[in-house]
Amino acid sequence: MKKKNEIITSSRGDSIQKFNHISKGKSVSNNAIEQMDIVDQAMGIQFEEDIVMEILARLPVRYLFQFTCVSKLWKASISDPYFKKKHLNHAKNDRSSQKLLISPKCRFKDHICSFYSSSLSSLQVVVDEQTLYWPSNHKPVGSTIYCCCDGLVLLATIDGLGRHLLLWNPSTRESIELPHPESPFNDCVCGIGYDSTSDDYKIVAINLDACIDQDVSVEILALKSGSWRKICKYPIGIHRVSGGAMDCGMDSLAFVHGAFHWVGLSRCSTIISLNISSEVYGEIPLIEQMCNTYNAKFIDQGVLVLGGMLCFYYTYYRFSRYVPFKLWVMKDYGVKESWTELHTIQGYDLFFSARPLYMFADGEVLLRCRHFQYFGSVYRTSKGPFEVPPQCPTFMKGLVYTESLISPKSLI
Amino acid sequence: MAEAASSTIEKNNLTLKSSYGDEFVLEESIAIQSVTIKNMVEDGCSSSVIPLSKVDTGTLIKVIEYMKMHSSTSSNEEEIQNFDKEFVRISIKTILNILEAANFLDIRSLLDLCAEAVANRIKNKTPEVVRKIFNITSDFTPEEEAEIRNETPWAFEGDLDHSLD
Repeated sequence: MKKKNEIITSSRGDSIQKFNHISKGKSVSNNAIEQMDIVDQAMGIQFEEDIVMEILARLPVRYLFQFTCVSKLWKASISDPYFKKKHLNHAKNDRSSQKLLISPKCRFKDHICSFYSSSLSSLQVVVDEQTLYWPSNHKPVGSTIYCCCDGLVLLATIDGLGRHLLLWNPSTRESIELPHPESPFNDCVCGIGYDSTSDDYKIVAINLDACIDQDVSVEILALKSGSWRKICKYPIGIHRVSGGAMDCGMDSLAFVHGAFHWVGLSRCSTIISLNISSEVYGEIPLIEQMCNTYNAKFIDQGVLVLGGMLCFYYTYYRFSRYVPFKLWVMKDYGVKESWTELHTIQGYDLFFSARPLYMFADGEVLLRCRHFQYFGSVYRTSKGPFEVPPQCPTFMKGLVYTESLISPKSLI
Repeated sequence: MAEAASSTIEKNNLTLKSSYGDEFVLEESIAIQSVTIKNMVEDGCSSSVIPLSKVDTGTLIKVIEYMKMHSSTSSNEEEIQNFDKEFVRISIKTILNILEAANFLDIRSLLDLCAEAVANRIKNKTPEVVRKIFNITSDFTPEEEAEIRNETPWAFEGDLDHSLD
């Protein structure tokens, strides 16, 4: 390093005097560092709270739970809502905080539902078994994962009495039960998002199974309000894609840039947006290549969010053959010209099957596909299979969430 | 000509003084990576020596080393990444001192680097070890601590690291 300093300073022309000066400093340095450590130990310096917060904001949730017993101040800091948001903002940009949540088929033992959560940051998949606990009187026999936002997962469990809608944070293992919308929840496509205007999480459920467009019901649950509310009709001039949620290609609405998104039909396929605060509908334009599905017998298409950007995919069946699966990304939100083709993947088994879940640092994409032999899912990238640990022969749905401290109980 | 050049150099140099009284001359363009120093320069109070009473000599040397590397136009991204990796291969205590200095001097990238490094190093450490590193005396009674551990027993499972560094 010393040599480098020399080069840098001399290249700027004022080298000699300064370099001497720094070297003089350096001769002091080794002594000084030793001294410093001694002084440190002797004086017992306490670190400023904001410095401690900076460090803690970069730790995985599990360690933060451990460190709540370091001191009362640390416990208070970690439980502070401001800190939880700071931690979330770091986690969103940290690849090691992105986890794949999968529910294995054989997940029920004594009515306890367990999931697998694995890190996506390294090729070596490390798996944690997560157990979901819920109010004790439920005896679930099944569950469905819908969508997630800021580490909060919306899911339903099914027991003898019906469906229970839950909001669960798999990182803190805390969950709450939510009320049901008017439409049967399994007919709905839903999404969850954070509304910064009202500092509230909101869930939207759209019943796309209605026979005519005017009957499409759009309901919204603001967690703080505690009840579902119908909002204005489906946008005029835009039709739902026939066949309901299935044709929409979506398990959930795509939430990005303060709005929910899904596929609709005006002159050709289009993306409908619904602003989370103003509840105003909008339309995101597609470029010609993305609508180029003439003569297609069946179209499988959908929108989703990868790496914080709105994405669109399609694959369709035309002239007795499957057109390859194509994925586009909108690099600048709302700018039509910024749609960029990201991947083209060949394979007949992707039709009504492949759902992108996550984009790796190198742009590679993780997809969940249907397993046609068993009723379950397999995972792959554009290049080939992606091995998730085989504790169970098949997996049900899975999604990628960000580890967070956000407590569902604090949101209602 | 020579005189003009030397006065330009004078103008562009700042002197930073550590808490031990050691003085370091540094180009202004390098030093203003610190928002605190930048503000001082803009307010015109940098004509003489800038005293950094909260930063000891050893720490200041590290901070200057960092600022020089990060303002250098001759090093590429990979070199800087490698430098950063090596830079934090020091004791946690020393990183914490640099972190405090980075906070005081308001050098965001250095603060991020050090906070990340400390976070990585204290993962998996027991709460007892973390207390030692941060010079904290527990103010919980053993009963209170046991209660916290019982609230989320899953967080305390697995092997923990008892070493101090």
